[in-house]
This record gives sequence, C-alpha cells and structure tokens, in this order.
Amino acid sequence: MPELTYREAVAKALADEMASDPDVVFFGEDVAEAGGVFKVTPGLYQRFGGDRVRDTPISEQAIIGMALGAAITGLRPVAELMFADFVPVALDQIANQVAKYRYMSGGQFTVPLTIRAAQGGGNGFGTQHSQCAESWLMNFPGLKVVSPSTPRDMYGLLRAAIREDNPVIVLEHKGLYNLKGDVPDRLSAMALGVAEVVRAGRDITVVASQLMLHRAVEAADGLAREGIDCEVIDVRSFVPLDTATILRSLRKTHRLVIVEEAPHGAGWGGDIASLAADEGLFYLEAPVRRVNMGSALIAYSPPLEDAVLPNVARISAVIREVMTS
Amino acid sequence: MPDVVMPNMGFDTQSGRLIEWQKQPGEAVNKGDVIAIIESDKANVELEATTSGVLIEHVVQPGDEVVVGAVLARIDEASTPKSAVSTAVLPRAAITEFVPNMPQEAPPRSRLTPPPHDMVRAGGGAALDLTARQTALQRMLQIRLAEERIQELFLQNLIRGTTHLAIGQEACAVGTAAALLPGDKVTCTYRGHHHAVALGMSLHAMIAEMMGKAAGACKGKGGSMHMTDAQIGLLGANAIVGAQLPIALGAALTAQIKRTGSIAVAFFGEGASNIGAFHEALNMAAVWSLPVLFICENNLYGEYSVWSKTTPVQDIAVRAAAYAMPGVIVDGQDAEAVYEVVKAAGDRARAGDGPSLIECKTYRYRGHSRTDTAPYRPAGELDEWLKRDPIMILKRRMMADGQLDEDEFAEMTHAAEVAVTHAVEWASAAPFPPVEELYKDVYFEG
Repeated sequence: MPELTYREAVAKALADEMASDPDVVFFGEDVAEAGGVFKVTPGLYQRFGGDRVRDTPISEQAIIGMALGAAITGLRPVAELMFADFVPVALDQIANQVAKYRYMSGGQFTVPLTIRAAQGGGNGFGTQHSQCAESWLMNFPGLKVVSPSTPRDMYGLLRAAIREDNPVIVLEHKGLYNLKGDVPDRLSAMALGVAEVVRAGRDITVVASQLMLHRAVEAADGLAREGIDCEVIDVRSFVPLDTATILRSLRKTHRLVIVEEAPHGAGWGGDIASLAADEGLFYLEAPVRRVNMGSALIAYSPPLEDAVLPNVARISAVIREVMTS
Repeated sequence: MPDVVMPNMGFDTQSGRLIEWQKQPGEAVNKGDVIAIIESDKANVELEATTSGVLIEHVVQPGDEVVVGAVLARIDEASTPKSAVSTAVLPRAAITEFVPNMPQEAPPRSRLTPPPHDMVRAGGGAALDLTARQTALQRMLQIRLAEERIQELFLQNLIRGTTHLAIGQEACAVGTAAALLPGDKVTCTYRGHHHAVALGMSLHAMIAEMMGKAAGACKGKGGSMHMTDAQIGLLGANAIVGAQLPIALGAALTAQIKRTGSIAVAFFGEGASNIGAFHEALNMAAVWSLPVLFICENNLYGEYSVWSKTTPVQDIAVRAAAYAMPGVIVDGQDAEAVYEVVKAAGDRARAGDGPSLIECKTYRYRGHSRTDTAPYRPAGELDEWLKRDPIMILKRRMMADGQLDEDEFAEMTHAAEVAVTHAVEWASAAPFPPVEELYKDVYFEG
C-alpha cells in the first residue's frame, strides 16, 4: 500500500481523473506552469497540456462562473480558488449561480463541477489567508461540501467529487499538505456523505475535521491514560452530513464535544449540537459543548494564533469537564 | 364591465393607499391614461388604464387603504376587443401608432468605435433573406404583444413579484438570434423575455413559467427573471447583474476545447458594464481568445438612473479597448443592422479570433420594472425613440422591398395576438406544481 502525502494525493486524484475522462479540465491562478502556490499540482500542465490545464487571471468570479458555464455545456471542470478565504470574492457565483443553477432551471442542467480551495490556520498567514469555509458554504442547498482529513480521503473524495454530477467544494487544509498516509492501490472514488469513526471509544463522542481531527485524536490518546475512552468522528462531508454515524455514536457514549476551526456564531458545530438536541436528546447525559474560536479572529502573531485555534490542551480540558458534569 | 383593480406593486407590497383620482365618473378613459395616484411603501405610482372606455364608478375614495387585487373603479368598455383573461388586449392599430413620423433617412446602420480598436466591419449589405426577415418580424410582434399581456397579468396579480419588460428592445434579440447557429449558447438578464422568444422559446412555456405553473419552462421554479431553455441554447436569464457574463465564458470554453465551432453570447445592459464580473469576463475571454460575444443592450437607464450619472464614458463599446478586443456600436432598433454586426463578430469568434463587445443603442419604452413609471426621463425622449420603433423599421423596409403589404402585416400582428392569447389561456388553466416539487432538482439524484 503506497504512502502519499496529502498534497500528493490531490495531484494523483486530479491526474487519475484527467487520464480517465477527457472532459475533465483544471484551471485556477498559477496552477498550470507553476504547479500551484502550494506546489500541489505540479506536472499536470506538462502531462495534459495547456488546453486542459490553464492558468487564469486573478479573477475569482470569472473562474467560478466560467467553470459553471463549462459544467452545464459538457465539460467536467475542476476550478481552484487559491485560498478558501477567496470564497467570499466569488460568493455570488458560488451561492447564487453554482448552487442554484439546476434548481432555477427546473432541473434542465446537471452541474458536474468541482471547486478546490486551500483553507485553515496555524501557519502564520494572518487574518485573510487562514480561515475555514465550511460554515459559510453550508447555507446554500445545491452545493456539496467535503473536507478530507487524510491522504486516503483526499484522494478518494476528490475523485468522487470530480465524478459527481452535482457541484462539490473540496476544502484542503494547508496544515495537512505534508501529512503522510496510506492510499490503497485499488482505491478509486469513495462515497460522498459518509463520516468515519477514526477512533472507537465508550465514554464520549468527539466530532471534528481536518487539523482539529488530528488534535482531537491526540487529545483522546492522552485522555485514555486518564481512563477516558473517547470515540472520535471525522465529519469528512459537511453537505450532505452523515447524521446516522453521529447519532449511533451518541447512543453509545451519551456525551458530545464538537471541535471546530471556526468562529462560534452560525458555525457548523451548531448543526451537530442541534442534531443532538433534535434526535439524540434522550441519549445525552451531559451538556453538549463546542470548542472553537469563540468570537475572535485569527491573528498573525504566533502566540495569538496558537491561542485562537483549539489545541490539544483546550480540547482535553473541555472533554474532562463534560465527563464530570 | 372591466374592473380597475389595485395593482401588484412588487416586492412584498400587499396593499396601497389611494391618493387621488385623476379621472372622474363619466369621463372617457383611454388605455394608458393615468386614472389614479396610489401610494405604496416604496413609491407613489401612477395607475394606468389597461383598457379604454368610460369611467363609471369610483369604488374606493382617496385615503382608503386597498389590498392588491381589490376593485378600485369600474370602466364601461366601449368597443375594444375582449379576451379570456385580461381586461384588454393591445389593439392591432397600436403598433402603427408608434411611428407617425418615420424619418426618411435612417441613421447609419452601424458605427464603429474609434481607433485603436481592431475594427469589425459590418457585413456590407448581407441583409437577411425573406424567410429570416419574416421570422424576425413575427418574433418581434410576439415579443411586443406578449410583453403587453405580461404587464396586464402582472397588474392582475397573476404574475407575482416583479417583471422587467423589453418593449422597444426587440431588434437586439431577434437580430442576434438570426445570426446564431444550432449549438450556440446564450445567457441573458432578468430583462430577457425578448431573448427567449427570439431564440424560439414556446410562449406557452414562457407564460406558464411566469405564472408559476408546473408546465413552465423551469417547472415554475424560476419565474420571470430566470427564463431557461437548454433545448434552444438559452442557458438562463440571470437576476444578478453581470453574473451571466462569466457563465457564457464557460460555454465558450467548452466550444473551444471540444472544437465545436459554436459560440456563446452574453446579453447585458449598460449598467452591468460597471460591475466587476463584466471586467473579469472580458479580460479572461480576451487572454484565452474565447469564442464569446458580449452584447450590451444600452437602453440608457440602469434601473432609475440615466447612464451618464453612473458611467464616465459616452459609449460602452470603448471599454473593449481595455481588453484588446473589437468594440462595435450598432443601431439596436434595426434588427438587420444587429444581425450584420453579430454575424461578423460571430464569424470572427468561430474562426478562433476571439471575443467582441457589441453595443446596441436601444431604449426601453417602459420603466425599469412595474412599479416604475420612469418619471426620470426627459419629456419627449420616449417620443423620439418611438419614431425609431424596431418593428416599424423592419416593416417599412420589407414593404419598400415589396415583401410585405399592410394586409399581410395585419395578419402577422393578428397571428401574434392569437399565439399570445392561446399561450395565456393555456397557462392560466395549467396546474400549479405540487408542493413535493419543492425538494426536487436541488440535487441531481442520478
């Protein structure tokens, strides 16, 4: 079973889909000749040529709108937004056009469109280059939103997104690009909309994603030495959300902590908490808690950025509180 | 005896207050006369008669708050035609009334923006053949009469929300449609009924869509601002100003990569040339030499503001220079002039020589949307434009060429009336979608 980095998994998924389907095209800012600002996509331009792999002007609205127009006329485009922080720059196209195009037309079109964007903090990129976009994007029915946490999921979910006949936004966490992991040889596309229990446990359910998932697992390993047995769930797909896996876990553990790399207000963790209240209330033996950025912004200075993102100590402390309440 | 009802004034307005009567019982009323002033939470609105006759009775008095659809007054209709749904149809004679003083010499049929643009020369006498002229004239009549009827349906609250009429701009749409080939794709704006008809959309599906019926072009999910028909290449009208330009880029990208020889067209208004998406789209189209035409219908007003208050250039076409593409100005009231320019730019795009910006100088006879009576227009401006009515221009040219006489024109007008009336009757009788439709088409389910 070959080991790839998360970064290499992106490039391999793109290359494998482009090789198997001539309608797959890929464009974005500096993605072709330069191979991407995070060096995620080197070699694609050389292998598939300038017709199918293109550098665009710095024009996020045009990139996404063009991808939509291409998707409804016979191509299967993959468009890159260099940073997920640029989602709001293109938000009209994403929210009003891409998400609604099929619906507004009464189902006349399918929209086989994938948008990739690098997101997440922890690398000193400052306030406008470090945000996570899931919570913004969950308010637009018609879109699917996927956030892989491992090289295997990156590969399998990106391939699935490209094959999907609905628009999918795949969010890649910048802090995970160097993460190594096994990607099975025979893996092609994985199912969208399926969460994964990455660590089984009896005492408490911890729901997280991407960088926060890895921190939650580390916290769980530490808490195991204190006798707290955490079950950690990787959301993987925010839209559609795999509510069954979360509820099944709650039925077993009776406790829930959600770890978000996002501000508290209208954050996705609220949806999970509401799921617990609506459908899992009688499983619960303690208040649901969310660990997130509160109402703070991501600062540049290292101690400030460290403080705003949930870390192992903060996650562990909240889990202990819930266990004793 | 037709009732004058409180009109739908758009948005969430449920009622209006009668300010004053402009016509008294016993007075003669002509279609289009202002009979009352009504106050809504948005603005004061002049209520126009949708029929002619004698005002018989005021049902409500000044100061009364009246819900939308309630009867305000009654008019005794003397001798105007009746129809199943509306209180009046546009009299056949109304079309000819638009052009009492047709200029003997029309303005130049196309004009090029000054250098440094790489110029596109108009087709040089390559006018439409007889069949294409007949199609263009028939569709302009359909557009005109459909739009008149749509306004009446809106006033009767049978069409909800808002609606944006393209009366006066018909030639831009039919001239362009005449230059397109099967496989070409079009995106347009919320003022897009004329594009839909020009491209051949079924009037039945269009009117049903505006009425929110299941048999509408978009199953009733889109409405007046989202006319879409993939079968005829209409990728969709858009309610966000400028958003349709990048989408047309994508259709052009598909044509370029798949080497289909097709082109894409994005219609927009001059107001959209001030939004970022316009500039991003033109720039990207130019650097990639995409086969796309950007067709600006400059009707002089961006919503309620005259273009000169919001735009520092005299002509939108000059903005092409910033993106190193041809910028062409054309008489948007002349369907054949539009055809020639679009055909030439289309040939250029099909040959791989990239995009063009075409500015059609045109005019909307009505306000921005139904609540707008266009009080911001200078007196006499509309009259000047009525002399350049697009239907009359083509009609006169066909008559001069011996291709049409008054009887044949009257027949064509009547045929358009019948087509519109049938579509309205059919759409009125069609069922609304079942509520289960709400959750369908959000995602493709495989």
